[in-house]
Amino acid sequence: MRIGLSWLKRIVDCRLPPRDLAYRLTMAGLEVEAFEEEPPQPVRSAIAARIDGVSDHPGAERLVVCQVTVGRGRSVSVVCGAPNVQAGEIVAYAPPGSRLADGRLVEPTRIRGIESVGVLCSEAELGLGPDGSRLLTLPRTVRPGTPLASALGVGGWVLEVSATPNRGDCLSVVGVAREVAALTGGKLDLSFPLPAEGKSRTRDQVRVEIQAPDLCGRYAARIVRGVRVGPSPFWLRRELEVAGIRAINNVVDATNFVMLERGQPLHAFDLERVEGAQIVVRRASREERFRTLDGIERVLAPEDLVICDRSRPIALAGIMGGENSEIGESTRDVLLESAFFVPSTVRATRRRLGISSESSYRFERGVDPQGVLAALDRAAALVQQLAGGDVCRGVAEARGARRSPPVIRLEVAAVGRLLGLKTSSGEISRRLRSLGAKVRRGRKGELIVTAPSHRFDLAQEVDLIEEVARLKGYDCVPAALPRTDIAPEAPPHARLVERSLRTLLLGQGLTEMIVPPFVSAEDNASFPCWILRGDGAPVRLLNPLSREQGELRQSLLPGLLRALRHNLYNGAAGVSAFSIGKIYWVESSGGCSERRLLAGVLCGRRPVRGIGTQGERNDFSHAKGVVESAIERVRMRGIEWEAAPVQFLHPGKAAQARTDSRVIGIVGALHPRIQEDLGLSMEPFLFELDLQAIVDYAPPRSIFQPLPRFPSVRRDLSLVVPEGLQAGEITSAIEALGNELIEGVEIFDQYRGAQIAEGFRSLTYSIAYRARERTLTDQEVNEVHEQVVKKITERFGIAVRA
Amino acid sequence: MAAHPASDMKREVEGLYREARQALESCRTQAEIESVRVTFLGRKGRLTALVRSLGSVAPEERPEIGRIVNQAKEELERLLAELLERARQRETAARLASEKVDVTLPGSCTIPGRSHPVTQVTEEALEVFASLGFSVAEGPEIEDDYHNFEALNIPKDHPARDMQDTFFVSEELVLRTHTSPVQIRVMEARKPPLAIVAPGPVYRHDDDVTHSPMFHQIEGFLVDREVTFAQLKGTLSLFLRRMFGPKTAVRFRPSFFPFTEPSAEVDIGCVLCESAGRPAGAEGCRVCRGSGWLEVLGAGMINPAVFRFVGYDPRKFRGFAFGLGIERLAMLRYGISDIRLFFENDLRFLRQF
Repeated sequence: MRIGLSWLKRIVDCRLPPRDLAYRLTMAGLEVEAFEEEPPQPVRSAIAARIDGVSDHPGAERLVVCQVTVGRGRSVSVVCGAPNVQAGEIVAYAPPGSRLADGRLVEPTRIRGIESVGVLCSEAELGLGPDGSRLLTLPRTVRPGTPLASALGVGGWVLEVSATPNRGDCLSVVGVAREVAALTGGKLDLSFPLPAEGKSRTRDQVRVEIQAPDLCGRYAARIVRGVRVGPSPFWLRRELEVAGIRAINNVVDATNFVMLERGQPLHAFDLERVEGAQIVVRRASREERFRTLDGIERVLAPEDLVICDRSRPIALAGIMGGENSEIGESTRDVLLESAFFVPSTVRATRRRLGISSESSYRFERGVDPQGVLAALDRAAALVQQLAGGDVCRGVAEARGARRSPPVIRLEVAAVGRLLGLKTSSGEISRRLRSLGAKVRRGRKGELIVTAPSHRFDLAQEVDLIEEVARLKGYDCVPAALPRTDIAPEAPPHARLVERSLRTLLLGQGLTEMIVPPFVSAEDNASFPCWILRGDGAPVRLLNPLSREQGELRQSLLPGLLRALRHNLYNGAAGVSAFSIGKIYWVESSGGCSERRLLAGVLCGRRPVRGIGTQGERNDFSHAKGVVESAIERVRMRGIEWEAAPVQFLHPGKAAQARTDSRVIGIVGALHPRIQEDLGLSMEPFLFELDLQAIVDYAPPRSIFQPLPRFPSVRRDLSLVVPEGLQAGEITSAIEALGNELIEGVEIFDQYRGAQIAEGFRSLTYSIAYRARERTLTDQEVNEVHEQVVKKITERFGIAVRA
Repeated sequence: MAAHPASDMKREVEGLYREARQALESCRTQAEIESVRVTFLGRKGRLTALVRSLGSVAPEERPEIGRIVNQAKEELERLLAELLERARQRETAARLASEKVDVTLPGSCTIPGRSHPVTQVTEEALEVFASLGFSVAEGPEIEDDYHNFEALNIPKDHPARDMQDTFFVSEELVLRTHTSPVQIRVMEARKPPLAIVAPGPVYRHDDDVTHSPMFHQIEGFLVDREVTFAQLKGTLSLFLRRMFGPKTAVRFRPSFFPFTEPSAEVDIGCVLCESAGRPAGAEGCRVCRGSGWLEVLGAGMINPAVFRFVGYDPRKFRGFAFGLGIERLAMLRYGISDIRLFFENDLRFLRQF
């Protein structure tokens, strides 16, 4: 909320410089987000002056001669032609020597023979607005001689105060003034002029009835008859403008002004249009229709609270009035409403209907039920001042459920215990009383506190402790360290696995990316989760930021591909990256599940440096190597590789790694169709690992194997194999022979070309033989190896390379 | 065996000595010298053979001949060592003169990747909290209304819900708007005393220069019998000074969170203008916008209402809790002004950390 400092200072006596005031408020929890000085008022020499007398100009029909007090008892005579000249008005006066906004210099002069000293100014002449047709008028409480800038509050300081949601009481000038008073001891002045009441009684002219006492605690109305609706004077429009509220007309502006000042939202109805001179506060009926002031027809529900006349709704309680009873230029009689509505009902209705207003904002956060009548009186007096008319006597009022402010028991020692700072009973009482709370002594060591009616956020002991702490200042609380004997635990296994994989991948040149989980439905359709194998529908958001971000991902790859595209577009020669994050799905039971994956993308130049390494590009073998090293890092053994049926990968370059029971990861080239759709000029290689499975299956530590005491012997085996036969099948077959002397099989070369027939390739394996308890002789090894060669060539029908 | 005439022997030694010496002096390389050594002084060398044949010399002449042989041998060995050393020096010099690399050429390596700045800051923060005795816990990102709001004392029709724009999955399920639900989940499952930090992504329906629909938080809380606001101040001050330097100014100011009471916002002195508490020095500072302070986290004493939700006795236990935004910390630390950079994943950005 933005408020002018001059307004605040009219209510609380505060001599602090604006910057210090802002600091004190911020440090007490009422954050001043900005305080700024407005540009100065353009005609600096202008002052406030009072028109004491008006007489006709003898030489001109449309001019008058005014006797004007300009301060310090000095009086001058000014000739004026404005329509709104009236004795008693406080107006803006530019003395001789002033330069008006249009550049005119004011000089003592004679107009048609009558002396005229200085000029009574319009907004336009002062450079404050477009209106040049009438005099700018000031509140009648302004003393003649006051510089115009300070009388208007123009060019003063404006504070932008941000009240936390629990402090609805601070959404007004009075509310902020109360805080200032509590912090500085400055005196509050909440007095205001009362309306001059006529003879007829309000109660006789309108009946108020509350049919939903649980939702409306109090409803009070006043009537002002015979108003002249018109534009508000400058000072009022100005205060509203500073606060960001559009000026409408003097009646509506008066209600808004009082709302800003006292925090009580008010509404003004055109009394003639309130049928049956009757106000009924009730729940709406199902599907009841009502057109609000903004011209939108609303369909209501039984939980909505409405203000009705004899037959129909005329306002949505606490949120917005209706078109059917709006104040207009022809309005003669006004009914003013001041009420207390239960915060949750206002909030529920305004959320459901998607409306928000200054009024609902305050009601939602709670207004002071005890302030209802004062605000109504204040508004009636102001309407009378601005628009004239007769205020009827008294109020018409009905009451719903009363709420008595809670009585809170506060143990004095609890303050020190919670804060870690001993605080005396005397200080506690003093601080709480400065807020307007009633404090009396209870049992020994206990205070009994009744919060002021505007502070319904104070409900339990800790709330009071907070008040004491914030008024004292959090700076007063010393800093200490916890004294506990909580045993710290080891980091979760999952975090350790994650950390070691991250370190490994970084070392291999992959950079970590973090990708938000929002994807489009198309992304999820193109990249279905290979872990779920068709089960698990995507999680859809009810209120996505955009259609492209409408679902939660089932693969990290679309996000990584987006990042890849972004980087290639920005000139990267290659991208090697990984990301750790969750995927999400809907279970058949309706609940949602999430699982952590590790994915990577490798494309274009590899992240290598050095002379002669420029040409190295990522390919399938690099991508698979990265995955293999990851699996090795977490000590998983017995992993089998096989071709992977994954729809978004190139069918000829896709592999999956599996344990006995499950697939733990995939690696491959992006399907050429998708590569083309994404407009990628280079082939990306992707991998995705089921991090959760790895965490579950990876052994937490290695088991030591004694070092071999006898040497091993290697024999190489070059085979010519048809292209259809996969290298891994032969490896597995050799291992499957189960010969206890075979220690390991490795494939180390692949050759196509001269000497090898078309449709075949040569694969070279190295087999290590070792016996645990002795050194093998050449002859022994030869015998075993020959058997291996024989069995393998026969098993696959292939030949040893000549 | 016939006695070898001593005079022959003597001549033979001298002849060998001369021959060896000549051979040595004509050597250029260590290898040549070595071959001369083998020829004369090696295990099957000629001089060595001569020494072995000393037995055939008449006993009375043996000392004399022995002396001559030894002398020749010693002299040759000395000469050999000397020449060897010279040859070595020459050869080293020649090698050094011929071998030279351009040391300004880059080395060859795999360029190591970088971990994401969010990860780096998270890990660092967790390490600080680990040193203060906090353990790590995690929770789901798709949360139910109860854990994300209700049990944190944020009832359905309360304006505090407006503080956090929420992504909804269904009426009852949301993307967690903060890591605070982990607090509830841990307290439901375990009994105090507890000191926990819970890192992870959170989601808000918001997208601009300072707000990202996804960002990361660490929630921390400590519950025990004697926990004070002073301890909260001490813990967070220490944390912030570890993250931002030992001289960092830290201030606590009152605020509001439904799940803590009293609540505080914690500010640090501006990292750019360093004019904490002296607003005059902050004039025009683009980082703190003239205030001298930067908001870094929210904290407070756990509201007794929250304890009642998880079945802890609020008369027995007290606790503090705090929540910090990782991106916010990283932005302040590295001087990053646009939060969206974290998730664009531009390598030119990521490689800076």
